Amino acid sequence: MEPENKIREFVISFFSISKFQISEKSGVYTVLVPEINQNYFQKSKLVFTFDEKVSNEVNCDLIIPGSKILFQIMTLCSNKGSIVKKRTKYPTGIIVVRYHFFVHFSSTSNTSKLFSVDVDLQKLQITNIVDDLTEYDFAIDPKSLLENVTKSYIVALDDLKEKTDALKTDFINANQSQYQNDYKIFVTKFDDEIRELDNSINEKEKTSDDLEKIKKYRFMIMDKITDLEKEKNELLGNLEKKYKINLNYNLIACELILS
Amino acid sequence: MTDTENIRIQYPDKFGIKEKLRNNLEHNPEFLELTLKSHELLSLLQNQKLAITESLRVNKNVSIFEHQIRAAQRVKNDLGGSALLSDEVGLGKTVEAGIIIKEFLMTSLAKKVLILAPPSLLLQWQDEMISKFNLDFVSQKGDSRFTSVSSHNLLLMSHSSAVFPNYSEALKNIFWDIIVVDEAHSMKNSQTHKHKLVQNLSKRHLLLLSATPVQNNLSELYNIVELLRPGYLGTWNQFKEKYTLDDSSRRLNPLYREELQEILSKVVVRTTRKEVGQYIDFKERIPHTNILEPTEKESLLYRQITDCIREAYDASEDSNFLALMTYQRLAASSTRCSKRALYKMKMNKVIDGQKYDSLISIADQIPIDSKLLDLMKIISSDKSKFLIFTEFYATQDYVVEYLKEHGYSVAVFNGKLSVDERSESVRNFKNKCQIMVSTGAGGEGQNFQFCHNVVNYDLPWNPMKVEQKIGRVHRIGQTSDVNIYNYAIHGTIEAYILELLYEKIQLFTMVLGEMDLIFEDSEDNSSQTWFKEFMDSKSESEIKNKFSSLGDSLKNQKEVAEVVKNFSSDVFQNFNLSAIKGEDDNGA
Repeated sequence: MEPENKIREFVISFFSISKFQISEKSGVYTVLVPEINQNYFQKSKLVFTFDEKVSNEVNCDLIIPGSKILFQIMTLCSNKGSIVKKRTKYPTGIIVVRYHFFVHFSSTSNTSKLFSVDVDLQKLQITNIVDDLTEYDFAIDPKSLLENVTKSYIVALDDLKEKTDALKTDFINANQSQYQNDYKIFVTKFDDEIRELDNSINEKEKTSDDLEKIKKYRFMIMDKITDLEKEKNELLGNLEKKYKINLNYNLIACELILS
Repeated sequence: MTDTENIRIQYPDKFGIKEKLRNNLEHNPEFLELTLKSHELLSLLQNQKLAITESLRVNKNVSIFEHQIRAAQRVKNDLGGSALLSDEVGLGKTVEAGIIIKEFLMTSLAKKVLILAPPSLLLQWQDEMISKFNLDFVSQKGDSRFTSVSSHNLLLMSHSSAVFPNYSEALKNIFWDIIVVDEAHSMKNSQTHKHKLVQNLSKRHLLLLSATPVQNNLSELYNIVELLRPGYLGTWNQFKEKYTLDDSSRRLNPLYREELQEILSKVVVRTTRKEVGQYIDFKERIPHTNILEPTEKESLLYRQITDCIREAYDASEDSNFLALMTYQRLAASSTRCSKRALYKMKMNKVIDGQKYDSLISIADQIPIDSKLLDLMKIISSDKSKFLIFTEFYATQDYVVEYLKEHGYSVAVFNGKLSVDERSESVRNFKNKCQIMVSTGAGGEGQNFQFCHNVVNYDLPWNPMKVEQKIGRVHRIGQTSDVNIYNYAIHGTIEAYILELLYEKIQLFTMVLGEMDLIFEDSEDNSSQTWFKEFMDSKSESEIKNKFSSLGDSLKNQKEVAEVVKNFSSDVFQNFNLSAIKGEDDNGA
């Protein structure tokens, strides 16, 4: 699906699911914001369109990537984790937990993707439910939940790591390669500078007979080299921080499935 | 650096899902789909070249140009989010930085952003970020919301404040996602505190902005690139030996020009005015300076008020200095403002009741200000729109009342209006009214490109404010040459400023952005110097001499800025560092 369509579907779903009063006329949507949300949206009524042409004709917000309303809704939704109970078409009594993860690897570049992992809550094994699911409330033995949730989560994480291994390896390799490149030019420059200073002592010794002056000069250069080493270490710390990698496996939602 | 030190692995469960599961709590079933979709969308946007491109192109409130979008795309996608943005003056480097910041914030790729700018440009930055990108930066200077450098995710500071030990230490303890350094040529000397501070701050992305990164010699360019990628150009001696021709490093070795271009293209983005000339028609500024002869009563009133102020100045302590300066400025604005000044002077015991009454009686004998009379002639002969700026509410009321009485449609804009009222006022000016009368607040953040006549009814004493006001109208996107009408009454301090300072440096015809180069280091205390010189002078010839020499010094600053600009252009001449060309080269 095109990003534009995804955005449209997402925004309309949000207002419908959140039970905001929404109406549409000739591509212009009007949403009455309930009082409780007016502070967040800073408006009592939102008027918007997804169509650039319409936005040129009518005085209303255009929702596309970068628009404020879209950002507000995305922020709101990404801050709501959820658990839902569902069932397959022909359940046999097996309870499966489907964990949804938002995997985000970040450094000087970024990559992110959604993953889901199904775990049999009794056997604590990876399973894969392909059936269509419907919402369905059912009872679960509380003891089984208490005992097996953490274990199932660990199983899910192991599987997730396996699934994302290639993504992770590529990301780390690309990052390391950039880091090594910067590290190399950084260290080479400092080493060259130190070498230049060293050489300048030799030059001095060659061109001067005044031992006292040479001695003084040597001390001065040694001080400079010490300062340079210190600077090098400090900056190296910054370079490392710049290329530090964050691998985030965010648990964002979960489905309990009667399978 | 080993892998384990380099990698931080986290398994966040920020919604407490496991705990809820353990307790068999069902939670917001309707939000499952939205939670998943919002993350899917976020992922999609994060992985795009520049997710906010379309929203920039269709934003009706701001003119964003193709070269600015391309520069931002290049920085994000090809340069790892760090670069020297070195467009020629007036092409919108601030906007390019704003696009990059916005992109990273909107796609949750950045949270903490620090902008370092010269003190004179802090307001302009704050204004542009909020008005163009809806990014609310807290300024360390003059912003009541500022508490500490660690408390704000979007922070704006002056270069000079940032190097104060208490601030610099606090800044170093924070990991910044993006740091922007405006007028980055001030980091050209690697031995200065400013340079060392930027070098030592922990940061992911660094944007350095300068139209003139090379001002005296190529070591400056070297030092600036060192901030972006330490070691990238080798040691200074290696760089100097290869790329420069003389001991002073002022001349580039033509043999290695292409090689240096290739190297610089990985860290520098530079667009020239010539390159964008195909779609941006740069318009001229046409100044009309009107120093009017006062009527007898006007002259008498101003002289007598000035005498009272001078008397108080001679006798006063420093604490009264700013108040006296304000009275002097009020006195020159309009008769109604003079009355306001007199009232304040009476309340603060600068004059007694008797003096007050006598001066008010002179003011009452002035039927209409000479400035307004002259302005009416211009407005009545030209049916196009006029944006009239005054620094004071009393003058605003006076001008508005008079214009309305004479049948003109007038929109009013000032700092007392709410956000909605301001928008309404701008809409009225655009669609219905011929004239807008605005106080200083109108200079900030508003965009009046549909108008091409600016009137400075009274004169801002801060040159950057002059630029800010003219800049509301004269900006890339303006389709007509802009008339700038400046008013002053002969014998007033404004007349000297206008004639002997601003005229000398041709302030009103400067190319967009040029003024920043001249006044970037000023701390907004020039107006105090001018007032002091005015008060300390005992005769008209003395005033003229003093202002003339102040003008000469500004002229020197301008000439230096010109030399610097030319040197930078020479160094970059024939270099292909443009975002526009870069895209074309890739066949995009």
